[in-house]
Amino acid sequence: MTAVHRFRAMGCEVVLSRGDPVAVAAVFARWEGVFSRFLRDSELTRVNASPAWALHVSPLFARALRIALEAAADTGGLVDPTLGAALEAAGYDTDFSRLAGDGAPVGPAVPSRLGEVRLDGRILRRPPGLLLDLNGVVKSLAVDEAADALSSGGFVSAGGDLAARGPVDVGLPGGDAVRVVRGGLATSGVVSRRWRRGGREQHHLIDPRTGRPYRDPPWEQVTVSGASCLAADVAAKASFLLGEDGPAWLDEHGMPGRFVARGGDVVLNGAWHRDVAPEGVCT
Amino acid sequence: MAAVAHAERSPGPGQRSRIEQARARARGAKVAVGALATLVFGVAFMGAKAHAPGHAKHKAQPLAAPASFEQAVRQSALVGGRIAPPVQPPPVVTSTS
Repeated sequence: MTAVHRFRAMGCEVVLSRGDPVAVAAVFARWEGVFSRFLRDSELTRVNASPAWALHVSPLFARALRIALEAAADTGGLVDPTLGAALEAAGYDTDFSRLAGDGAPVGPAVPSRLGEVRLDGRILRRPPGLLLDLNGVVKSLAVDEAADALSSGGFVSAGGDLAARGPVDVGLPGGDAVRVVRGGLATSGVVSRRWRRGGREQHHLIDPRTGRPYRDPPWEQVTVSGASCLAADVAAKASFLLGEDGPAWLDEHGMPGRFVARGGDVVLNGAWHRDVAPEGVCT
Repeated sequence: MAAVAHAERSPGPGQRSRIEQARARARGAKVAVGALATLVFGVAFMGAKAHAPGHAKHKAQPLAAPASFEQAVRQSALVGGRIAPPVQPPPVVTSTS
């Protein structure tokens, strides 16, 4: 039986096997130290607070932002790194563990400002006041980097994001399981990160088309298998925000997806069904 | 008078030797300055060519990457992984992020 290590980082539980937990913890600490919205001295906090129109950012920041902008392009703008102000307007303005109880009514909708961000090498140009939030890619990037250092057959998981260095069986929302043969697995949804503001339930999946948390999604959770944890995470968020069109969109990209509807029904897209189809599940 | 003038314009053997020596030093200095200038120009030329290349001699190519490369890079962002039916109890669970 291989030892499994657990610790907390980036506001979630990290689980790993066949790897050095100290080295993996250092990877997560480095990413969190640069990209946390809630650490006063993180680079993201300093960038968001800067009054300058052009900034020289660190190589890690530039890399993650470039990937986030590419993810935005790949998803038609659904996974958007410029929605930090929309998250704050919805009330997610402090560490999630402190969002207890109801709070003040949400602020006005904040639409996407994707077209106002330019990155040339390590020079970032954007209007002051535009709040970046790279959480859409940062956790999965940290998972992918941590997984690179694992031995064969190992895995690392942070919250809903997992990357494996060989076959590993993974439990799924609703009680099923799947074997990840290669790549990563990510789950996005509105089950856990929810809070109340102004008497209305809020969540962290902002719809860039409205600038508010996605209203009345048909899914509670979406799980996607990707060539990397990053690919799985980006696709899971995008297919969640696409609502009923999510399964077909994933099939267009050849990505297996498993959708848990609000009533508990499980919907598999064609790619998932082709690889693993438990009996009695509709597609 | 003419002899005096001739004597003034025609230095003796010792004076001619010093003039020749001065001319030799001048020639040496010219050669040294020329060589130094050539060396400085060569180093500057090579440095400029290496670090700040000017106009390409070959036919200009478009700055954009080839479409096939862009397509390959773009497609790599959203690529499915490989999954299969489970064979043992899972040691880890994916939860909502």
